[in-house]
Amino acid sequence: MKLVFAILLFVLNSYAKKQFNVGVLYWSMNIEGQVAMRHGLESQAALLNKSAKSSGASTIKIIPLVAGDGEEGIKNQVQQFETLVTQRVDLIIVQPTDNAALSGALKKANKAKIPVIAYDQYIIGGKLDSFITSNNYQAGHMAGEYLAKKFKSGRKIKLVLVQYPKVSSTIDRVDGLFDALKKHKRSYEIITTYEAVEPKAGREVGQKILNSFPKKGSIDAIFTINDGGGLSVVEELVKAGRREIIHATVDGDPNSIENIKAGNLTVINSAQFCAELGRQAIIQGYDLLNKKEIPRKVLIPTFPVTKETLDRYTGWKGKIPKPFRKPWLENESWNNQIEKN
Amino acid sequence: MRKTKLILLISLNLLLSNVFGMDSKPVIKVGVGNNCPYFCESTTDPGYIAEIIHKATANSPIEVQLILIPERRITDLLKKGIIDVSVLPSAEIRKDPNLFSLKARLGVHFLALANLEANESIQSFSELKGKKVVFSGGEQHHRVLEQRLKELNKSEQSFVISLTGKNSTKRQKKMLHKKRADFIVADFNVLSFYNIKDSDENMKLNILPSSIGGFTPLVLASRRTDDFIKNFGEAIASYVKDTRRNGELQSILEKYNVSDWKQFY
Repeated sequence: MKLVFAILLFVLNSYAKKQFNVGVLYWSMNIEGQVAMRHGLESQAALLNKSAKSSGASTIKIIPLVAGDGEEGIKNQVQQFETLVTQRVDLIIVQPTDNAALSGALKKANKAKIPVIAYDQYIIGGKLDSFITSNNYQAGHMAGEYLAKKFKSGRKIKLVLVQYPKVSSTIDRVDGLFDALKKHKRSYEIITTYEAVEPKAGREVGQKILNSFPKKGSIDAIFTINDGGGLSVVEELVKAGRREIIHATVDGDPNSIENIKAGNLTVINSAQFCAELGRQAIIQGYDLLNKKEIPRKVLIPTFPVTKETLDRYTGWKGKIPKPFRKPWLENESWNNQIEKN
Repeated sequence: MRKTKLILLISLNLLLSNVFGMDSKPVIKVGVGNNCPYFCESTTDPGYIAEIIHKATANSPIEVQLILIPERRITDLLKKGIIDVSVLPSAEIRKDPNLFSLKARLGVHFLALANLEANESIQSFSELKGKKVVFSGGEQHHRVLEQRLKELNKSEQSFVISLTGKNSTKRQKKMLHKKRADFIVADFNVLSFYNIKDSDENMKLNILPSSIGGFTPLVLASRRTDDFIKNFGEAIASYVKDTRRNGELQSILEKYNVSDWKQFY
């Protein structure tokens, strides 16, 4: 009788609703886009919990940890990651501060069989159950096609590239840009390349551009891989009266959108849907915890914010709009699909 | 004449096994550097990209010639049309409006830090402070490494010994073993490959991937845009996509201790 009771208890326990402990490692709360990602993740978790409570399914408990900025942030995140592994949480969701530094911690999670989902940035050297990121190639490609159409055919575009090859997302953006210029048969010359991903480096790059190319007309266009550095570059050039240059960028920072409205150099910003990145991270995580098969990679579309499309843009926290024909290209629509591979 | 010699130096015809109409097949010359695990001189382990190209075109009506040439000459020979296709870092293709990506992604190249497995495993770049580093790789990565070490050590003194030429990984390991250097900095895939190939347990490495030199996708590139070349690129891309699903790609990569790059880019 005791044995039957024990088996019954075991079976009941197996089917009882559970609360999953999900450790979420955020990068910085000083960057508005990253705050929007957190907002998306936590508001979606609340929705999932509400629905789970009404249907009797398992709920999620978020354990949030913030790494912080710079080198210290990277070190913090490694420690936070390892602590979550020691605590044996059910799932780790991480916005990596560095593509490589977390590889050791990821391997420890792999060894402990704790599933890991990364969003925004990738971690190399271990196994991620899923990676959710913006369609960065699309972001660069749209910037490239817009630039290609801004200049008269036959003219060689004198281009300054402000890149940051240390993270995967920005590499795809640059590859997309040049593939688009080539697709539209635009002749170009990269007159110089700089690295900047945050405001301080952006300001320095702005000054370097002014010092190296003091004559008006010596640069046609600048592509910056994000607004973190790009906004400061634009600020320096606007201050110096270099309004003949056009600027293409990626991210969708509200200040950059204001620059498009005000005609301050920026003509296109391929904006991320930051909140959607967070939403997808927890959606995939919840499915994984419920033993569903999830895609290894999820690509969230980016939106081409230009003077022509401003009224369609829903912002970092907004939902993805419907597709529309791109005004600068004949017969080509903006692809709003979330790609799951 | 020198160019011809270079090209004729080592030519691997990977479709020799195809017996039908070989002479009449159109030829694609793929110029590659001798750099395991990407491409190797060895016929038993020709490199994972060589295997992908070989298998992807095994039943196609083209003949692929893999031509081993010094890496620094590849872009030049591609531009001059002496080779049709190569595998290049995407950054190299960007620079030239006349070089095109054939949409076949074949890996990702980045640096790693390593020490001998007998020591405590390395956790971060800051552990290189005050240590001797033996490096092998390109000039740009060398410059970045020198700069980062000078910043870390707050000194203008160089802490880097640079090795070039054949067997550089073996030589780097020996230097660690003889305590002539403390850490190795080199390509992650190269270090990982030699870590499984080296049977001497005393020479095994702890390897930590690093973002200090950035990440460089490797793509099939050409200056030609005709359908023949495009179809070749599509055949390679389709092979990668299909074999990723059925596990064949994984079995190739495992031989070389290389991770799939699907999630990365």
